[in-house]
Amino acid sequence: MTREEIIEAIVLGYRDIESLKRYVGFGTGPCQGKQCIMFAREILIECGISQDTGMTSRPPLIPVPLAIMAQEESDEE
Amino acid sequence: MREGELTFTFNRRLVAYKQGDTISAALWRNDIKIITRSLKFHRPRGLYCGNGDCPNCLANVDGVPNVRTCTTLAENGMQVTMQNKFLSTRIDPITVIDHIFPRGVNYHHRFIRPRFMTGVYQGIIRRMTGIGKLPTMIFEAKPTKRIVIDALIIGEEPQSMKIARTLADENLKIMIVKNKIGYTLTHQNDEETNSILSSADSIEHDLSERKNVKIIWKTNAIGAFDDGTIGISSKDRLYICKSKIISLSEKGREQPIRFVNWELPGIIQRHAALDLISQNIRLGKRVVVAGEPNHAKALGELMLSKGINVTAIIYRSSSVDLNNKDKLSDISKIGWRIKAAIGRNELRKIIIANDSKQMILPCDCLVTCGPAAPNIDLAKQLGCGIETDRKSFPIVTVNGDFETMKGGVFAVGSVCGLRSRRESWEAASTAGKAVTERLRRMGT
Ligand code: FES
Repeated sequence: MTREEIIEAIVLGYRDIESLKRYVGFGTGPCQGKQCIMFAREILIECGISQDTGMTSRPPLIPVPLAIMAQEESDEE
Repeated sequence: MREGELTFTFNRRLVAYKQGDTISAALWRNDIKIITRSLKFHRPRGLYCGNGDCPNCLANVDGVPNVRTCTTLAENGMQVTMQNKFLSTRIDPITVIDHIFPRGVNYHHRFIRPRFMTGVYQGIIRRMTGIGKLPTMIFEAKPTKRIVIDALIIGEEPQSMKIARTLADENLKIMIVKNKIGYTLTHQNDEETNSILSSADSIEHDLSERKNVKIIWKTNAIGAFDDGTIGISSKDRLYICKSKIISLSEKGREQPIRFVNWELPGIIQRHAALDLISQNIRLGKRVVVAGEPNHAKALGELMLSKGINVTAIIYRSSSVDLNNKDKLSDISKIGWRIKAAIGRNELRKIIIANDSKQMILPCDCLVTCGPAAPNIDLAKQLGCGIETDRKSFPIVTVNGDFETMKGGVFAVGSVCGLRSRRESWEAASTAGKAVTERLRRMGT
C-alpha cells in the first residue's frame, strides 16, 4: 500500500494502529508487520497521533507450512 | 555453462551459482535484480532485507510458493519462478494501475459500484494481486515432537550462549533455538565485537557436544500458547516445548529508511549486503551507503577494505567523528538525507538533499543502515510487560535480574533495551546467575 492510502484512512478517522491495519491492510502481508509497521508508526507520529506499543502479536511469527501443524506427535527422531 | 558448474533455473533461464549462495544472492551474482513484483501495484521488487523479514524476495521454488529466496540456499537443479508477474519480467502491463491511481487504490471505496459488478471486480482483482499460486507438490512433514526441559534459550544474540553455558554447567536440561550456525561476519570489525563473537562461537561449539544441551539449528520460535508452551518450527517439523524458564535474546530487526521508491531493486539493507560480501559477490559498480552514523561508517570501512567501490556514505545526523586523514572523509556526506531513488526497474541514481541544496548521485547499489527495532513479538505473546525506550521503540520491561513481568521469562539484550553488545554480554552473567537461582528455588 502507499503512504497516501494510510493518510487517507487517518483523515477518514482511523486513528490507531489496530484499526488502521484493519482498514488499510498493512501488517497483514508476507512481512506480517516486521518492516511496514514502523512506517505506519512514523506516519502516525507525523500526524500527531500518540503511539502505543504496536500491533498485537500472534503466532506464527514466521510463515510455516500448514502441513507441519497437522502432524501427529511422536517420539522417534 | 561449463561442465560441472552448479546451476538452477530462474524463469527457465540457467543461473550459475557458488556453494553457499542463497537463491537471491546467486541471482544478484548474475545481475538479476528483479525477483518478484509487489502485491498490489506490481512494482518491481528484489533482494532487500536478506533476513526473511520482508515481502520482496518471494518466489516459487520447485512448486512451493512464497519461498524466501534470501534465506534459502541455492541447490543444483532447482527450479525457481517468479510470482506475481504478468507477461514479462521487465515490462508488466499491470503497473499502469500505479499511474491511473497515483494516490493508491482504496478497495473499500473503489470497484464496488454498480453493486452487481462487485463479484466480477473481485475476481479480477484477486487474479491481479496476491502472492503466488497453491503448491503443486506434496509437502513431507515430520511428526511433531514434544519436549519438556528446564530452560529454553531463544535468540541469535551472542549473550544467549553465555547464559546457556551457565545453565549447562549446573547440569540443567536446556534447549537452544537458533537459526544460524555459529556467529559470522558483521560490519563492526572492532576488537570488542570480534572477541564477543568468537567467545560465543566457541561456547556454541562446546555446548553442542554436551549431553544435557540440545541445540536445534535452523529453527525459529513461532509462538507461545497461553500456558507458556512455545511452538518452534524447523523447515519440516513442529516442536512443542514446555520449559520452566525461557530466556529471550532475539536480534533486533533492522528498520527500513523511508524515501520515495525505497524498495526499488538495487536497494538493500545492511544484512543483505553482508551476505553478498561474504559470498564474494560484487555489490555494484557504484555503491552508496546510507543511514545511522555508527553503522554506516563501520560498513563503509568494511566495504572499502574489501575493494568495493563506495562512492558516498550518507549520514543522517551530523554527529559523526571522522578524522581528516580518514579515507572516508572524502566520500562522507554528513547531514544529508535521501529524498528519492530513481530507476525504472532497477536503481540508477538517488536524489539526496541537505538543508540548503539537492544533488543527484548515480549508483547501482544503495545499502541502507536503519536503526534496529527490538524484536519483542514472542515476549508480547508470552504476556511480558512492554514499555517504550528513548527512540520510542517498544521494549520488554525487566527487573535488575533481567526477569520480565511474566515470572520465569527472562529478556537479555536489545529486547530489553540494552544498547551495545558489551552491555548485553555483561548482562548475561547477571541473568545466568538469576536463572540458576530461580530454578533452584523451583526445586530443580
Ligand atoms: S525476506 Fe528476503 S529480502 Fe527480505
